[in-house]
Amino acid sequence: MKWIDWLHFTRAERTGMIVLSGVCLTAALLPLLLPYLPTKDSRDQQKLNDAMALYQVPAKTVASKTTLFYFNPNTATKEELLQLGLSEKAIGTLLRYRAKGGTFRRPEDLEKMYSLSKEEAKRLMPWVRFREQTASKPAEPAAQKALFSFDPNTATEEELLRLGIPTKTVGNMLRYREKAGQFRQASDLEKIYGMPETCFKALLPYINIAPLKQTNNTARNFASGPEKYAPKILRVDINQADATAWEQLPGIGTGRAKQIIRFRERLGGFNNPIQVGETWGLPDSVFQKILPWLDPSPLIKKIDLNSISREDLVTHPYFSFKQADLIIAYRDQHGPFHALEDLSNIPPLRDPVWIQKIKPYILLP
Amino acid sequence: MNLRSIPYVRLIIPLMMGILWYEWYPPNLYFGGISLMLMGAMVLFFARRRYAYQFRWWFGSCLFVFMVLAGLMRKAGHDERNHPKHFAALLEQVSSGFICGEVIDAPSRGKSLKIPVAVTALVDSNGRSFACNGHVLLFLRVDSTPAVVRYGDRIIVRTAIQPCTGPLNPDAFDYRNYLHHQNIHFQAFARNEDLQIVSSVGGYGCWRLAFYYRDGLLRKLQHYIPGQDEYGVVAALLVGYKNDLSEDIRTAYAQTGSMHALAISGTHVGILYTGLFLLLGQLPFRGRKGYLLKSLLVVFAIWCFALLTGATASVLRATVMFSFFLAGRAIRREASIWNILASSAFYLLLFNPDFMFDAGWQLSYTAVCGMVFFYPRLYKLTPVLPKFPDHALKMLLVGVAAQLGTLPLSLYYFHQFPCYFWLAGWVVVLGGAAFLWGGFVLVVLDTWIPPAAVWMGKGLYFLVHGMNACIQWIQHLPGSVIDGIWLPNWCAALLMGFVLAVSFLMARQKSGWLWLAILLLTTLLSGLAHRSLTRFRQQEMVIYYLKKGILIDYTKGFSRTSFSCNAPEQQVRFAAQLHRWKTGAREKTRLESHLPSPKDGYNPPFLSLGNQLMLIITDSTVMEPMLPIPVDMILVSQSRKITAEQILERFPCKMVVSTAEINAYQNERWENACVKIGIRFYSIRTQGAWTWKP
Repeated sequence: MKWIDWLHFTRAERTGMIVLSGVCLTAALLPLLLPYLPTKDSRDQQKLNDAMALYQVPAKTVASKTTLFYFNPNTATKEELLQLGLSEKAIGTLLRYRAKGGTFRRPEDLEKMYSLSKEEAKRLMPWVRFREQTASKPAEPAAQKALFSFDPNTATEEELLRLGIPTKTVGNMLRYREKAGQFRQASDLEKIYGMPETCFKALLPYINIAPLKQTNNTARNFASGPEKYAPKILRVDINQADATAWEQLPGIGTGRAKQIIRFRERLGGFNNPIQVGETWGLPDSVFQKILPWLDPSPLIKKIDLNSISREDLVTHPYFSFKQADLIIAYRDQHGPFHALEDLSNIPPLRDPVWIQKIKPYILLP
Repeated sequence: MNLRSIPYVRLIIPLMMGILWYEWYPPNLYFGGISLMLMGAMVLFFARRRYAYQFRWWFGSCLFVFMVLAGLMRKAGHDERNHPKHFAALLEQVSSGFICGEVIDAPSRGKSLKIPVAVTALVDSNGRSFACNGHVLLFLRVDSTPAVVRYGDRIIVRTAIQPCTGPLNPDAFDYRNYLHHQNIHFQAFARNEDLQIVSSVGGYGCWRLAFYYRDGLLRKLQHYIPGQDEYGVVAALLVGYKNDLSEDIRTAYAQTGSMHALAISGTHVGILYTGLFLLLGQLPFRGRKGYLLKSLLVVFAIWCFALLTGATASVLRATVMFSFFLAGRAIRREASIWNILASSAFYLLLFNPDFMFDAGWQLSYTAVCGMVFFYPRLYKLTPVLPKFPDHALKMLLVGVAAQLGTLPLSLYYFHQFPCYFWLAGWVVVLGGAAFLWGGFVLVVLDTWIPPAAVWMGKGLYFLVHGMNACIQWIQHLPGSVIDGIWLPNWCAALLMGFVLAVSFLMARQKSGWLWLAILLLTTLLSGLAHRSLTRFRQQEMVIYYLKKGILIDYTKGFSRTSFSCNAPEQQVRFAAQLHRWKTGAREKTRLESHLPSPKDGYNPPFLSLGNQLMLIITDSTVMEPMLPIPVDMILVSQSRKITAEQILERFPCKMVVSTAEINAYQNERWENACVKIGIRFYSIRTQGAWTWKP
C-alpha cells in the first residue's frame, strides 16, 4: 500500500465526508461564535441583585456603617472597638497587647498595631483621647469656621480657640509661651503636645510669625534663661555631688539625679562633664542647661584589667558582654596585660575611639 | 482489514494532530478560522468531481488539512480563555469582590471542597457587577458544618481570583497542568460563610438528575454496607465515586495493578452490557424487532450508567463504542473494530478535545487496542483446554494483552510495574461483576423488600472484605511491584513506537517493520545508556518546599544523602518521591533530626552537604559565638526569637534561604536584612523548592 492510497477516498466515501466535514465545521466554529449571539439574561440579573441585597458586606469595607467617637485605646471595651469598625482580628490583637501590659501613649502608637492597616489607623487616630473624653468632635477646623491669619506668639486665647485649636492644646501653647518659649517657625506649632495633625495642616497657611525681638524673655540661650525663675544655683562637682546637689540644677529632678548618680557609680566616676550627658534618659536639652554648672573632678575608681572578673567588668557601661569575654579569654590565654596597647592584640577591640574612652578608667602603667 | 473499512482511522490522525498543534504552538485564531473555512470550501469543491487516477490524492490531502484545522479550532473554541468576555481582563479592576457563577461539575472532597464554577459575573466591593465568563476552581475550606454544594447550583462567593500556581517542588505532580486539561486556569479560596447558594436550577437537567440519583444510591450503599473501607470500594466499583476511598486501599489497588478496576471503565460497561443482554434474553422478545428493542434498551441503560458515574473519559469511550457497535449490528453492518474505536475517539474528541490529554482516556484506548490486537494472537498460541480452565485462560490472556498495550503509558504515568497483575486481574474481574450486579440488586431490593436488602448488604460487605484482603495479600507478596521507574517523554514515545512497530510486524510480516522496530529499540537503549551516564555525573542539592519541616537531598552520582527535620513522612513522599525517582539515585545516608530542645544545650546546628556548610536556624537554636563563624549558607526555618541582623553579623555567609515553614512577616524581615547587607536571598515559600547544581 503506498502512502498515496492513504489519501484516496472513493466517491461514496467522499459524499459521506461532506456531511462529516459539515459536522466538524459546526463543532469547531460554533463555540467561538456563540458568545457573539445576543442573550437575554434579565431574569438572572434580577435574582442576582436580590441575592446581593441579602448578602451583607461586612463592616470593614463599608465605613458608613460604623460610628466614630472618642475612645481611649487603653481602656476601650470590645463593643466600643467593634462599633468603631475594627475587625475581630484587630480587636483581638489589641486586647492581647493590653493584657500583656502594653499601653498606648500616643495616637501614633495605633499605627504600630500589627493588624490595623495604615488607612484604618489613620482613620481612628484623631479619635484617640487619653484623658476624659470631651463630647465635641475632634479638632477639625471645618469649612464653617472662618480661618484668619494669626501670630502664634501673640494670639490671644480666644483667637486660638476660634481657629479651632482644642482647648488643651491652647493651654499648652500659652504655657509654652509663658516659659519663654517662642515659635520661631511654623513647624514649631506642630510640636506642641496635643496639636492634631489635621488641625495644624489646616492652619499652616494662616500662620504669620512676626520677626523675632530679642527680649530678655525670649532669649534662645537657655543657659541664662532659667536664671530669672530659679534661685541661685550652686556649681556641682560631678564626681562628689550627691542627689540634692544634682536636683537643684534646672531640669533635673529626683529621678534624673538618681540616674546620673547610678551611672557615675557604674563608671567609677565621670572623667569629663560631657560624660554626664551620656546618662541614659537624659535629654540633650536638659544636659545643655546644666552643663555650665558642672565642675570636673578626679575619678573615683579605676579598674584593673588583670584582676577584674567578667561580671564586674560587664557592669562598666563601656564594656559589652562580647568585649568582656574577649578580654577575659585573651587574658586567660596570653597572661596579664602590660599596657593599654596590648588590647590591640585582640582584633575586634581595635577601635581607637573606644580605646580612648576607656583609657582613663584602666589601671595600668 | 483494508483501507475502505477504516475511514475514521484516517480522520482521527489529522484531528489529533490539530489538537496537539493548538496545545504546543497556538496560532492566531483568525488565521485558523479562515483557513478552516477555505479548506472546507475546497473539500466541497473536490468532493463530487471525477478526476484522473493520478490526482486521486487531492481530495484526501484537502480533507487531511481540513481535519487538522478542525482539530485546532475545536480546541481553541473549547479553551475557556478564548472566550471574548473572559474575566482575565477584569482582574485588575475587580481585585476582591464577589463571584457569581454556576457549578459545572460535582464538587469533589478532600482537604477542602473543590468546586468548579463557571463565572457569570464579577461584582466589586462597590456593588458594580460586570458580566463575564470563564472557569474558576473554588476551594471551600472544610469545617464542622460543610456546605452542601451540588452540580447546577448558582452561587455567590466573596473571594478573589488568582491564576493557578505551578508545582512548588521539582518534578512534583503538576496540578496546574492537570487543571489546564480540565479547562480551568484560575482558582479562588473561600470559607463557608463567604458562600451563598442563590438557586439550584443551573446546568443541564439530566446531569442534575443523574447526580441526584447517584447521591441517593451512595446513601443507600452506605446504609447497608457496614464498614467504611468496604463501602468505599463498592462505591468506587459501582459508580466510580472515589472520594470515600481510604489511602491504604488506594495504594494497595494501585500497587497490584488493579487501580483500573476501581476506576470505572470499559470493563464495567462490558459487564453491564453482557449482563443486560443475558437478562433481556429471557424476555419474550423474538425476531428482528425484538432484537432492535433489546438493543435500544441496552443502549439506553448504558448511557444512564455513564451519566450516573459522571461520564469520565474511559466510561464514555466504552459507552460510545458499545452504542456504535449495537447500532451497526442493528442495521446489519458489522464494522471493523478499529473503525469503531477510531469513530468513538473522533466524536468524543469533537465533543471535548481535552480528552486527548486525559490519562484515563489514553489508557482506555491503548488497553482496548492491546486487547483487540494481541489477544487473538496469544490465544492461538495456547493449547486447547476444557471449558472451565479455558475461561480462566481467556481472562488471563485478556489481561496480558491489555497490559501489553498499556505498558509504555502506565510506566510513564504511574512509575511502577505490578508484577502480579495477572493474579489480581482474576480477582478484580470476578469481583467487579459481582459488585456491579450486587449493587444494583441491593438498590432494587431496598425499594421493594428492605429486609432482604440488609442481607444483601451484609453479603456484599463480606465479598468486598474478601476482595480487599486478597488484593492486600497480593500486594505484600515478595516482588509484587517494581517502582521507581522513570520514563522521560522521549523514552515513552520510543517505547510506544516500538510496541506499534512490533504489532505491525506481527500483522504484516514485512521486513521494513522489523528494521523499524530494531531501530527504535536501539535508539531507546542508547538513550537509556546516555541517561545512565548523565546520572553518573549528576550532582545536585535540593531543598524542598514543605509546609512543615525541612527536607534536603544531596545527590551525587547514584547515591543520595538526605536530611530531614520534623518532616511528616507522607509530605516527604509527596514532595520528593518523583524527583528522587527521576535522579535514579539510591539513598545511601539518611540524617534525621529533631529540633534541639533547650535541655540539650544550645548548639548551633551545622550541616555539611556537598561542599556547602549550612547553618540551620529554628527557634530553638540560640547561639553566641565568640568570633564570627563563616558559613556558606544559612537556612532559616523559624525565626521568632532571633533577629536576622544578629545572625548575619555572627555568621557571615554567601546566601540565605528561607524555607516554606517561615511566616510571611519573618520572611520579609530576613529579606530586608539581606538586601541591606547585600547577600543573596531565596525564599522557598514564594519561589518554590531551591535547587543547586554546580
